[in-house]
Amino acid sequence: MRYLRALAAIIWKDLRLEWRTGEALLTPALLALLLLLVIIFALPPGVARMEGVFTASLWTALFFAGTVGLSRSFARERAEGRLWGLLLAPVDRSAVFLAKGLASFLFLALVALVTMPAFFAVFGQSLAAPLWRWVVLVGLVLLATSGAGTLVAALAAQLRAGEVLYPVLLFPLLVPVVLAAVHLTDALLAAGGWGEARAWMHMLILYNILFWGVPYLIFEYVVEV
Amino acid sequence: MTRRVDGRRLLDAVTLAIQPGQTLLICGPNGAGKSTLLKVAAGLVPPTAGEVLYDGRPVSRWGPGVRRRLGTLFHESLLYDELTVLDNLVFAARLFGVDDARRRAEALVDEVGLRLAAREPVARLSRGMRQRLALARALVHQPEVLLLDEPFAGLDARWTAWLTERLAAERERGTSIVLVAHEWRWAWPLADRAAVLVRGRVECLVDVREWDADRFGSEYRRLAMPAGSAGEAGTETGGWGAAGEEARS
Amino acid sequence: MPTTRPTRLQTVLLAIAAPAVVFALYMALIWAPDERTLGTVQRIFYIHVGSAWNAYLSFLIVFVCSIGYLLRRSVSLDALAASAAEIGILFTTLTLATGSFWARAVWNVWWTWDPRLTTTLIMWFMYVAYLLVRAAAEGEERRGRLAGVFGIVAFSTVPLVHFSAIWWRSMHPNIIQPQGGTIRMNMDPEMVVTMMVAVIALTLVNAALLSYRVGLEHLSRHAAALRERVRLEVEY
Repeated sequence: MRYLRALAAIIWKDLRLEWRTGEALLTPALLALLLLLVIIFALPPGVARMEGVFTASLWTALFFAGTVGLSRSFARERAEGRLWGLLLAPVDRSAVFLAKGLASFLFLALVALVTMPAFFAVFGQSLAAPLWRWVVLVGLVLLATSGAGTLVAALAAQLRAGEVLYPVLLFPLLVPVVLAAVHLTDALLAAGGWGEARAWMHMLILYNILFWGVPYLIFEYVVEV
Repeated sequence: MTRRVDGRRLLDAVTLAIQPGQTLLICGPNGAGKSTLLKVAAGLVPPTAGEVLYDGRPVSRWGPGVRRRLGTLFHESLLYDELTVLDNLVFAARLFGVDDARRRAEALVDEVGLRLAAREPVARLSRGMRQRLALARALVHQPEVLLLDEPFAGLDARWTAWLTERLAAERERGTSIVLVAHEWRWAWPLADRAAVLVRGRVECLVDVREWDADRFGSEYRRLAMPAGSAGEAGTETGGWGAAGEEARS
Repeated sequence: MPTTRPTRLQTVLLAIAAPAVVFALYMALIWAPDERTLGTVQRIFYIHVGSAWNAYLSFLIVFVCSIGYLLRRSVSLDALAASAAEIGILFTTLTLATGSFWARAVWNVWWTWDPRLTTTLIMWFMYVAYLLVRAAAEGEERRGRLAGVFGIVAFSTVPLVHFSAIWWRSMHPNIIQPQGGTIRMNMDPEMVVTMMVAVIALTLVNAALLSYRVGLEHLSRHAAALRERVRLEVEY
C-alpha cells in the first residue's frame, strides 16, 4: 500500500514536471513529425508507396524521437540531489524504477498516439487490421522500450557525457524489439493479423519480461550512491 | 563505521550515538567527511565497514520502512526547480505516505513564510527561501530523527531565530537531531553534545553542559588547523568513546 | 603487490596455448579433408567456429562476473569482467571477419543482412557500449557497479545471436542440429574432430589472453592507486 502510494507520487510528480517543461512529450512529438517530413522529402517520388518503406520510416522516427524523451527521465533527477530525495522514500527502491518506467511509457504512448496518425496519413496507408491489434503491438513495443530505456537512463545519468552516450547504450539493447516491431507491423499491414510473425510476438513478450524483470531486481544497484 | 571510496578513507572508524530528544552537533573543516557521514547515516551510501544502527538494529535489517523515520536536509536542496513550492512539498509528503498530504504541505508553507510564493516555481526563489523550503521538506513527514547539513546556511536573523525555536520544539517532542554546522556557534545552544570531525575521524567529542563555547572554539581551532603533524592531535574527551577501532571490511 | 613478471598461471597457459594453436592449424589446413562442394575455403570454418564459441564464452564470463561483482564487490571479479569483455570483442571481430571472407567466396558478397550476421554485429556493438560505460564512469566503485549492471543486461543479446539462425529462416549454415534428443553433426567425422581441436586450441588462447589481461588490469589499478596516493600527499 505504502509502495503503491510512493509509486503514484513519483508518477504524479513526473506528470506535473512534464506539464511545466514539455521535455518528454512535446519535444519528442515534434521531433517525430520533423523526421517524418525529412523522410518524405528525402525519398524519391513513388518510393514512399513501396512495401516496407512505411514500416521502416515509422519505427525509425518513433524510436529515435522516443530516446530523446526517455533520456530526460533521469537526467532531470540529477541536479540538487533529487535522486537521493527519491531514494530516501520509505519503500523498496524498485518503486522508483517502476514509477519512472511507467511515466516514460505514458509519455511514449502519447507521442505515438499523436504522431502515428500523421504517418498513416502522409504515407496513404490504411490500418488494414483491427485497431486493437495495433494497440497491442504498439503498446508492447513501447512498454519494452520504456523498461530498457528507463534502466539505461538511470545508468547514463551517472556517466560522464551520459546524454550523448545514451542512444549508443540503448539502441543495441533495443534491436530485438525493433526487429519484432518491424516484422509484426508488416504482418498487420499484409494479413491483418500476426500470421507468420507469431514467433516475433512471443519474442516481444519475452523481451518485455526481461526489460522489466531484470531492472526490477537489480535497480537497487543501479542507483546506489 | 568506515567509509572508503576507491581506497580513500572518507570516514575512519567513526562511532557516534544519539538518544531520543538529544542533539548532536558535528563540526569540522571542509572535506572532513561531515556530509558523507550524514549520507551514510541516511542509508544513501553503504558503509564500507561497520553498521548504522537504529534502536540497536542494523539499518540493513530494518527494511525500507525505517526511512520513514528520517528527515534529511543536505547541501543539495532535493527540490525540483520547475515545480511550484507547494507541489514540491506535496510530492515529498506523498512520497513519505503522509495522510492528507496537501493540508500538511500548506501548513508548512505557511510556517516557513512562503505562502505568497506557494504557486511560484522554485527556480524563482531566493537562496534563503529555498533553504526554508528545503527545511520544510525535511520536516514534512514529522520524522523522529533529523539529519541536517548546515541548516542555518542562507537564513537571515529572523529565520535563524525561527529555526532555533523550531528545533528546540522538535527536541522537546523527542526528536533526535544531528546538526552539521560549519558556523557551529549558532547551533551551540541547541546541542547536547558536540563532535569535531577532521579528515574522517572524530577527534573530539564533548558534553556541551561541561564545556563552554569558547573552550570548544579554541579546541576546534587547534584540531581543525593543526600546525605541523596533522591528525595526531586527537584526544578522546568525555565518556562517549569516539574513534573506536577500525572494523574490518 | 602485483608484479610485472608473468605469474606461473600465465606462463603455463601460454606454454600450452601456443603449440595447441599450431597443432589446430595443422589439422585445419592440412589434415582435414576438402569439403565436397565448397572446396578449400571451407577450412576457414574451423577458426570461425572456434572464435564464435570463445566470443560467447567471454560474454558469459562478463555476465557471471557482473552478477558476482554486484553481490560481492570483489575487485578481481570486476577486473575479470573488464578483461573478458575486451577479449570477447576481439573474438567477435574475428568471427565477423572470417565469416565475411567465407561469404565472399561462397555467397559472393562480403556481407548480407542475414539474422545471424546482423545479431552478431549487434552483439559487437553491445560490448563496445559496455566498454564505453567503463570509460565514462568516474571512480572505481561506481565504474564496477554500473558496468556490472550493464554487463547483466548486455547479455540479453547473446542468446539471440545463437538462436537467430534456428528460429528465423537464416541462410547461415547450421552444422550442429539437435535431433530427437541427440545432436547431429552434418559433417565428416574427421571434420568434427578438427573442429573440436580448433575450439579447444582457441579456448586455450582465450584463457592465456585473459590471464595476461587480468594481470595488466590489476597492474594499472595499482598504478592508479599509487598516483592517487601521491596526489593526496601533495594536497595535504
